[in-house]
Amino acid sequence: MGPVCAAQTPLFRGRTMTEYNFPFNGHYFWNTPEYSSGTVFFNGAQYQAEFININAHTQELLVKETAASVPVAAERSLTAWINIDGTNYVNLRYYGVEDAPEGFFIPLDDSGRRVWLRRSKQFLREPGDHNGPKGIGYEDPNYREKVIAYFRIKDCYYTEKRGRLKQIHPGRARRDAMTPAPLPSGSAPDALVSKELRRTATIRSSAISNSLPAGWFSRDTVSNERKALLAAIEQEAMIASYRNKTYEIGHPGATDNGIAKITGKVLDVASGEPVTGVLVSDKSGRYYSITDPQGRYELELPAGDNLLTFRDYSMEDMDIHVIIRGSGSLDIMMREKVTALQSAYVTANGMADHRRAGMGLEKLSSNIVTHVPSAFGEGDVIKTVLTLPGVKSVGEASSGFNVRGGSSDQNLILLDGGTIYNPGHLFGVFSAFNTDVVGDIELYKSSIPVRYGGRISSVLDISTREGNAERIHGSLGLGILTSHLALEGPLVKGKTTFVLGGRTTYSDWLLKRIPRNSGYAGGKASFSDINLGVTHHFDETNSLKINGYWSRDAFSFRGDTTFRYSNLDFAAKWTHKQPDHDNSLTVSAGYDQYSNTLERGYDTDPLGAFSLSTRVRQGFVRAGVVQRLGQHSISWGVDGVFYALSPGSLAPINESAVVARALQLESALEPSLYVGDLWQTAGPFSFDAGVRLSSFLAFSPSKFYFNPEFRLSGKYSPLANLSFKAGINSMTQYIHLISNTSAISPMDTWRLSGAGIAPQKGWQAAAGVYWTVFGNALDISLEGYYKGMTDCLDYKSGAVLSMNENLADDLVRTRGKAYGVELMLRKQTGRLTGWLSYTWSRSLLREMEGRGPQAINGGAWYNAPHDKPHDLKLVGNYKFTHRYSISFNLDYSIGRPVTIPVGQYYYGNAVRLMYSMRNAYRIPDYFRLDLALNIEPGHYLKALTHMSATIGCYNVTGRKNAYSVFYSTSGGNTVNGYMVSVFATQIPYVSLNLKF
Amino acid sequence: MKKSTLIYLVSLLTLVSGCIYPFSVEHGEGEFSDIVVSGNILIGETTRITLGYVYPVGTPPSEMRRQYPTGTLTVESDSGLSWKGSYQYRGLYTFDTSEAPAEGSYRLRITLDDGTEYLSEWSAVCSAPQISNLRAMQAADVVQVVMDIKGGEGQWSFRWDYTQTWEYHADFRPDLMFIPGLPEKDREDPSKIYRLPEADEDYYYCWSSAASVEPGLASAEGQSINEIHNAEVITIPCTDVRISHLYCIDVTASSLSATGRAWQQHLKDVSNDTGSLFSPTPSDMEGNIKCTTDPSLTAIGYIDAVCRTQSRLFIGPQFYRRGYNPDDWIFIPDPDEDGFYNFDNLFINNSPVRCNGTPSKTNVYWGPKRCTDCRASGGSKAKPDWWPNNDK
Repeated sequence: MGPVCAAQTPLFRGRTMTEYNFPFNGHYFWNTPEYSSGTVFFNGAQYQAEFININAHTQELLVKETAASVPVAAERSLTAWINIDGTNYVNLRYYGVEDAPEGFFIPLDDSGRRVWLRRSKQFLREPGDHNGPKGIGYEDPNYREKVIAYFRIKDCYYTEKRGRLKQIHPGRARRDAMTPAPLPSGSAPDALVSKELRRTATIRSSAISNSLPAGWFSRDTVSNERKALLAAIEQEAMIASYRNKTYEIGHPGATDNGIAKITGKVLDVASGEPVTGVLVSDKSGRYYSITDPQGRYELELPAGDNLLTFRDYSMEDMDIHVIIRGSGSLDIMMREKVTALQSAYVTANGMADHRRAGMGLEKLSSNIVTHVPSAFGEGDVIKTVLTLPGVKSVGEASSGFNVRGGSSDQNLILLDGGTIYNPGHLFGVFSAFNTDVVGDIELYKSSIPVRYGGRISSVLDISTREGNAERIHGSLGLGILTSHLALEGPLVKGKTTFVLGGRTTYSDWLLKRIPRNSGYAGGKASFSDINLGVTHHFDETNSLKINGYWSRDAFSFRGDTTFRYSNLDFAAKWTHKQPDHDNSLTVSAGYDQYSNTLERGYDTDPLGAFSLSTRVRQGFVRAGVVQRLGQHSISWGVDGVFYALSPGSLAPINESAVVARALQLESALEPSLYVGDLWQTAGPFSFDAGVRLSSFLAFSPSKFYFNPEFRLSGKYSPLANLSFKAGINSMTQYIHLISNTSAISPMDTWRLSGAGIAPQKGWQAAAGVYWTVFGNALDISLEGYYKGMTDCLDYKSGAVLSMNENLADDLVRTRGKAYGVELMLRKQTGRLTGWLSYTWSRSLLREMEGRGPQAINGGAWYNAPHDKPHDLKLVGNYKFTHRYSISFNLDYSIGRPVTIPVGQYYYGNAVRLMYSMRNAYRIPDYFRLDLALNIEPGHYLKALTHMSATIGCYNVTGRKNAYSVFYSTSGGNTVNGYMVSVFATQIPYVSLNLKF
Repeated sequence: MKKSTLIYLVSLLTLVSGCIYPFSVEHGEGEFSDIVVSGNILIGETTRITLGYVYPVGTPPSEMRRQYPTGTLTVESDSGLSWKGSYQYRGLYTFDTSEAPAEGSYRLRITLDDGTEYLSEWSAVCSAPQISNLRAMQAADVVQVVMDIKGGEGQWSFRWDYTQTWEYHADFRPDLMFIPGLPEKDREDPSKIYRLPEADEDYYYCWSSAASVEPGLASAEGQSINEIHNAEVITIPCTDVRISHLYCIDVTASSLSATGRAWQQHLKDVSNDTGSLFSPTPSDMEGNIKCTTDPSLTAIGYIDAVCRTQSRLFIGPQFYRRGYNPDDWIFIPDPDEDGFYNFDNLFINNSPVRCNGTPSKTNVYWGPKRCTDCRASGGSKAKPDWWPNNDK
């Protein structure tokens, strides 16, 4: 297990060694008190011909730079192994064998079986005044009598079984028969660093591992890591995996006016998979690159000494000293952080913020998602997104989310490029995304890249992982309501990988066992989803990724009414990237489908029983090019989306008299062209500008819209850790969710712009300051924004939304405005990580129709359903040990606006209600605290399975948060107020995950 | 812990954690300028239109019945005829539209005493639907009264109301009546304590009635035929005393305009069916009554001109089940004048006397009023003149 910030810890700056100053026989060193020349593998670097010894009493590694130097105790947690006089001493804890005693072990061969010898020396005193073999008697002031002090040698022998150490007690004869065992093949370095080369090590075509590879305990297997390294060597790339080492790149003179182009790949040392999203930057912070899906990066740096840093949320930090003599290639092997909780939660860390011209980007990983406490213990992408500043929802059990005052349909939700129209399962209790297969999650709240279009509020881009390139493994998770299974691995070694994930629920089974009087008896609720991804790398420059996703939901809680909806997505993406240039071409195509069905009356209403269904289908083709021209990175491309919507189809059930009919199919083509320029100046400025020519051609009736969209953002970084940014962008949306409920409902329909429904347009201006302080430990950001929207949809009172041929008559066009300030403090290092965010924002709507007194709220501005001015979120994780940590999540916000009755009257024999102005009141404030204890698996390398568990409680305080409030007369003479609370009590949960 | 118990607990934790709780928020003392106009123009019978005010939420019903708008109400037809309303009580105006022609269009004009005038939109007369197959069906523990409705030509939307009347009886018909207020010395003589009941003191049979509060609404739009089958009129538990002896329900149905039905459905929904996760945002829906003198004033209501049809159904005791186990029914006497209960004769042979038992005439037992006087359950001795049996 790699330590944090190890790169800053040199070998010869350890603690002062423990001295024992009294007369006695014996010594505390392992074998001989003399320092011997040996080799140390420390902190990712290998030191040769040093003066070293081992204190067998404290199990410390004692090192001296020269024979005359003062010895120090090197940081043991950074020491992998040492070799003294041909004998290897291994720090097993370094390799994650956590139940191993502290210290060093000698590998021995016991008739073909590996045995570990650990020598310890106990410092003992016992009364006595005699001198003898044990020691010399002396007057100890603490004992007030003569004592004999001595070190007693204790040799312990261990074998390794299923990843755990087991002590054995071999007899003397057997011990004597044991012979020192060499380090297994594959674990020895290919190149050693001599003392003379300590300051500058030039390594070409060689691979050096900074860790024992997976399967190191296995005697007769060649490790996968080793294979990965060897494979990389065969590709004649320079691979760096050491941190405190200097790499020489290129040949002198191979520069362009002193500027050298450094290219390379970042790979996972364990799986050989490319690592996406790694921030690669130089010491000045002005030159940076982020690795693409193939793990590639490219930097143009001045010749000379430099320090390259590699940062990613899930990988251990890498700092590489380089001497740049010319253009060249340097591949990086990074190691995954074994303990995910140790990682930062948000990957768009502060330093990355300082490098991007754009703003409003939040990046998450599945590691983060799985450790944010959620109801029922199921990692939830949407719920985690909701912990970010500027992201809100109308309630706990709601599928959608609202970004910076936008409505839920104004978010483009992409899964591997395919559009997800309903991102929720089980009424929104779970999200549609399986964290087993999810890789990167990016949420663009502003400065939306020019390659995205079609929604005016935000883009949530979720990509699934590539499968493990080396071996097949999987995971199984069990929760209270759901279970999930994932498998991944190579189909063709080195070429093709797959990842497969599936989830299902047993809530249906539970519902059948609930007592009849619970109100849920006879109900049904279930969901399933499947992800399948296959990636094929043709060669270094070409790869093809194919992904499929299918989900199904069905529930029925009342009589003979059943809801069903389903997502189906299929996408294929071909990527071509030239290794030596920052040029790439990406072509993708796919098909998305969302359908829902309502069946009602099949048992009780033989004449009126019906089935109502809607469906959205779309096919898309996208092609994008990124081309580097000096300081400019030009991106351009074309999008084409073809929509075919069935806005409503009614059919009879059985012998029902319902007349089958269907609303006119809606179809349209949304072609777009875009071009953008990311200009990274040599100075502290950088700019990102682009134009997207968005158009929309609706068929039947024919209607054409053309809307150019603009993107512009800029950054000024006077300091490496301080940036100011501003940006403005405009967006257009041609597909609209028709819903008059606050949350996304299973029966919501989507309609296209055309006759009666104009495209929604929005623009947003934002500015912010980003400051990283306390040695990059704390990121502080403050962003403000103003958003304008037109042609947003609202609804007249009593609007009929389904099967309405004249839907436009029931719609109301509104103008929207949203503004706010988001403050975020994010801590990414140390035992405590997480973030605290506060958002003040408003989101208001105003009718555009000019209906006079009949207009909503008389034509005045009114609160949007998701307007919650104050919003405070605290998400964190405190790590006690590598295995144990607690996560917490605190959420407070002002209650959302609601329309409630203010008047009552008799109509006929019943009391009826008269409602307030729309959204004029608010439900009670929302507060929730979640806690979870995370138990990570032990890191036994040879163990076949790794079990992790999460024990948590959602809504620890048991607060009855209001989802909504309503009043009912229930047909009587009195009016009663009620509050709906979705999770009105503590929800304890246990989630077990097994990796194999 | 039993497996089933464990399942129940887990289920409860996970699925029944969502709950509905009483909730109240403070409301201002608002004043509302809106008036409420309820009722329809009934062609072929007496039209009943009620005017009312809107009060702040939480106003007690008694307060809401104190004041009513007053003015002149007129039903007008497009043929030039008009019927002036006659004020009855509590905002109720009646119109003798029994002779009004069942064609053309009608509207309601309201002129309040302060001169404010409201006028409803013209409404074409909706022909009366046919009610058929009005019947009672037992489903589990309830009896459902359902019917089929068939609309006239072009009539696809329906409303129905009902009036229910039922006969029931007390648990006991006493042979003797207690004479209260006797001096202590006379209480020792049973002949002085009891007397035979008079003829008009037979409180064994009672009748009660109630009208529907919520109208039934349905639409056949989207169907090939303008019929509604199995339209639910009322659901009565099998243990309800209403069906213990003889029950009668009179169902009145009318056709409505499509917009009128939608308006009434909306009104019903936003008053009773809000608050679920997917409930639409509640709001007020504009009716078809406008203020002609001040457009900023609104009248809540939707006036349709309709013809109604009626159907009647009797239900015997065949569905009735006692709501209590007779073995558990203890015959507890009323307290005496000092507030004490006399349990002396409560037990016979160590067994409690039960309401459904047949006490021996050789003994005298105390009986509570609710067991012997049917009026204690809210009914009366007023038997409808059309009631089909000889009970009295």
